[in-house]
Amino acid sequence: MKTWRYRQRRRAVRALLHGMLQSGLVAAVVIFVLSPIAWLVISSLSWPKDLLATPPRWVPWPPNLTYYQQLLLGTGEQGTTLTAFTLRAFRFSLRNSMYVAVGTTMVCLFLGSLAGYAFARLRLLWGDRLIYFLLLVQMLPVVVLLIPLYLAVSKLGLLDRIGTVIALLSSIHLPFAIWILRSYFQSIPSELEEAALVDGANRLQAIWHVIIPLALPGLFAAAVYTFMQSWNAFIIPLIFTSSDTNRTVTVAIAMFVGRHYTEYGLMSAAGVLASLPPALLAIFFQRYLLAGLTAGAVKG
Amino acid sequence: MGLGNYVDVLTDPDVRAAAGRTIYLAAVGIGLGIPLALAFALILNRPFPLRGLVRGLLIVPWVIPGSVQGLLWSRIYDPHYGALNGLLYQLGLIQDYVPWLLEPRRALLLVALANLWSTVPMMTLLYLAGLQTIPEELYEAAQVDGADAWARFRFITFPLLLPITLINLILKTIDAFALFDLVFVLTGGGPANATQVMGYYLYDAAFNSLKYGYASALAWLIALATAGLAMLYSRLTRAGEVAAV
Repeated sequence: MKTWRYRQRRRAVRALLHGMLQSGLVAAVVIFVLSPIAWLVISSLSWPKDLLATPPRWVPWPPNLTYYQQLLLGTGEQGTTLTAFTLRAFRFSLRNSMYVAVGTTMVCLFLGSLAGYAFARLRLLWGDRLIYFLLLVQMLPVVVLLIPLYLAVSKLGLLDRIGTVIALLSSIHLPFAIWILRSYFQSIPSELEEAALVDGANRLQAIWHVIIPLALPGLFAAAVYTFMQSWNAFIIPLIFTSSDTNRTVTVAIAMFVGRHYTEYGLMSAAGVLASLPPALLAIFFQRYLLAGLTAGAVKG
Repeated sequence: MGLGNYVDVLTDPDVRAAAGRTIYLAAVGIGLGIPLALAFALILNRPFPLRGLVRGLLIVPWVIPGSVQGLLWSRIYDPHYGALNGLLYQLGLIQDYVPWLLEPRRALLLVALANLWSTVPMMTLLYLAGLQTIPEELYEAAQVDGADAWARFRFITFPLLLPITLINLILKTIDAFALFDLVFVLTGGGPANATQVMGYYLYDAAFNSLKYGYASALAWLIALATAGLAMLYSRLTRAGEVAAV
């Protein structure tokens, strides 16, 4: 009786220790992931004198929201020497990033659906090889492609335009959209569209009315992925835009750090704002993002 | 002209230095990143409360724009008001604030560690996907045979995850050649070119020094190296369909 109870107690203690160890390890992972972000958020909410405190003040209470107000509304306390010009350029850049991300996503979805369908259904000469070739090209570091692109774009007189950035990013992210969509289209039984073709629909009608509605999760996955990648794009907008009104937010952040490095609070708030769209997409649509990522090549 | 640019690139000690730094970057990413990612995946693979949320958070470092990552780490490494100095000082681990990014070798290591932060979660997710493909029966059978936790890891988990490890290894190496935004914002390639990794060096040669021919030759060589790695990668994913959802 005694040994039984002893053993039971020992088991309970072991389970407890095990649980504590497990929680501790999970907490370590969460700290690894969140602590760098936490410092950026803390900086963005700190008051000017706390930003210069030694040792740092870890909890900014009450939080200082004026940096966010300044960035988003151009109002709030102007406790800095920063010109309204830079703040306006930042707001432009948020808008530009939205244009670029939405534009690139739309182009990639449209062309990606057509190409993805072709790869999934039509008998193409070397179709399988071609799609792997596309993926191969997409894994090349973007910096490798810059010189010929730059020479071509500047010859055409298309530098410093948002449309150019959209066109270039579309060409870079299209292979992946094609890849995701192709695998979704392949999972849809071809009898469905054959029935539509028999009923007198043409190919495009069959794609539009039968395939696209069934492939919506795939389209969504491609959209989330493309939006995130083009929002985060850096080197293409860096090279191909030059005026403050055409910069995207990732480039605006780099310029901000270069020009006004001591504006710790404002700079950090700008960084938080620039990260919000992709971070929210990642948290809410993780499943779609991962489906795309694990389905094929990964581009960093 | 002709092949002159290629000769220039291949004999240029600066290229060799940039390649060395890139390999160093990849080595840190692999040597520290893979064990860390594997450990994270094993931790997160067991059921615990809020597991979905934690996995969702895991992907966040990877989706933060590279230039914001540069800003983020410059705030952490800041010599006067950074979190790293503040934390180490309060813990009593340093007596004086350290200008972290001023010393060349240390700067490169710190860039590599910053990069690690965003790539480890990605590798973890791939490992998690891999762990789900290992049949539970293998572990049960091993337990019946009296294998302890270490033996189960050593003879089941690790070998069955080897394809994922290879994929992570290849992707990490390609990543090292592509790294640009973080370096651009965090160090600008400095101090004294100490953090000029290949992607940054190429950009610098083309768009600051305006050596188009030279840079194009270098770009071709990098593209070839990457394409070789990418081909290996696609062969691996095709053969095992390991990374499939």
